[in-house]
Amino acid sequence: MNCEELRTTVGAEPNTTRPDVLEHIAGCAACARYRQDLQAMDRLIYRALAVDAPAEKNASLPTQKQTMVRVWRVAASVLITVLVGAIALWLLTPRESVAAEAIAHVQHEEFSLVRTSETVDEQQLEKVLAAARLRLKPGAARVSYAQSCPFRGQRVPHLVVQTEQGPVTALVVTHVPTQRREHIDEDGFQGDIIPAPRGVIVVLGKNVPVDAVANTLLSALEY
Amino acid sequence: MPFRADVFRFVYWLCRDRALAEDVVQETLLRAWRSLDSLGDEKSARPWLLTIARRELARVFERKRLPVVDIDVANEAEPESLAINDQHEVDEMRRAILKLDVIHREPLVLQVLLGYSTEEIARHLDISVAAVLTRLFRARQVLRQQLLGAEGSRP
Repeated sequence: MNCEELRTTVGAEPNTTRPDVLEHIAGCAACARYRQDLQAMDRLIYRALAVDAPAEKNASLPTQKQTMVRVWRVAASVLITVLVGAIALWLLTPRESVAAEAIAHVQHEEFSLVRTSETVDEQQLEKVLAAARLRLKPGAARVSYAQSCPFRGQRVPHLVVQTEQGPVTALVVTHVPTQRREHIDEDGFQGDIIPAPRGVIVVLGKNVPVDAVANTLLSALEY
Repeated sequence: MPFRADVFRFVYWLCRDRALAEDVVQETLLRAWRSLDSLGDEKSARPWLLTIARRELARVFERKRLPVVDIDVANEAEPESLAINDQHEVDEMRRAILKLDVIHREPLVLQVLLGYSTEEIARHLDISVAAVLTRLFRARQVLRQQLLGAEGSRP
């Protein structure tokens, strides 16, 4: 390989490691320097070519992350639609008053409204109250009936408290908005809806004073 | 996205228009995504993308007659985006590269910037290895002359 051939070769490939090129530059200082100049120029070419690329836009390929974002957006819209529909349905549906529902429920379980000296097991009572995150101070009332009953879409403690005058039903409703005290006198039942720390307590009896039971529960129930 | 910068630089140095290059890159990635099945080996992703980009750019040029890019404007219009540093030498080299014919510029970009071998460039451009060597030699010769000329004209 002569000098002209070498310069043609390294002019196209300055970094070539062809044996004949290496052999030539080992014995030819001028061609070695020529190659070094071209290699330096290539470094400059590289720096000139390496322009800044624009930042990646969101509108590029649908990455997994973007797909997930889309899925979440769709899910959120569906959820919002369902919620709005449910709320609208709930608002438009005629609802009975708390009093009427409470009376209907007590009538459904009227067998519990009996005079008795027996009381429920303490563990059973605790369990029923604990389901509504409540506790009753021990010995505060003689509870003859304790069940967790469905009421307005939730389960609430349904208690029957024995008094000297007769049995009084108490529904401890914690999931409804609290309200001012309201007197009930319907379908042979008398009682009150009493505002409580959470929701209300509905106390009902048949010709039985309920005030004492209401006051006892308000003071003895721990919310 | 891997190779995005490579694709952008490759397209930019072909069309010498930053905005157009960005559009072509977007379209390239979209086309690549649609025809992902045709990519057999992951290792060949970069040449595959560059081929798509090259075709896409050609398609753009075919679709509409694009205005001729003024080299001086192309180099000076976006100094911030082009400036990897403020060295005068780099700036001069950029001007010189922009002035190269595309048939000399493209193999040079593939070789120096993207590290293609002569055989790979030949396959990419669908020309012979000898033709690639000739174009690379010619590209460097022109650049050298331009830089020497610039040096000579510098006060």
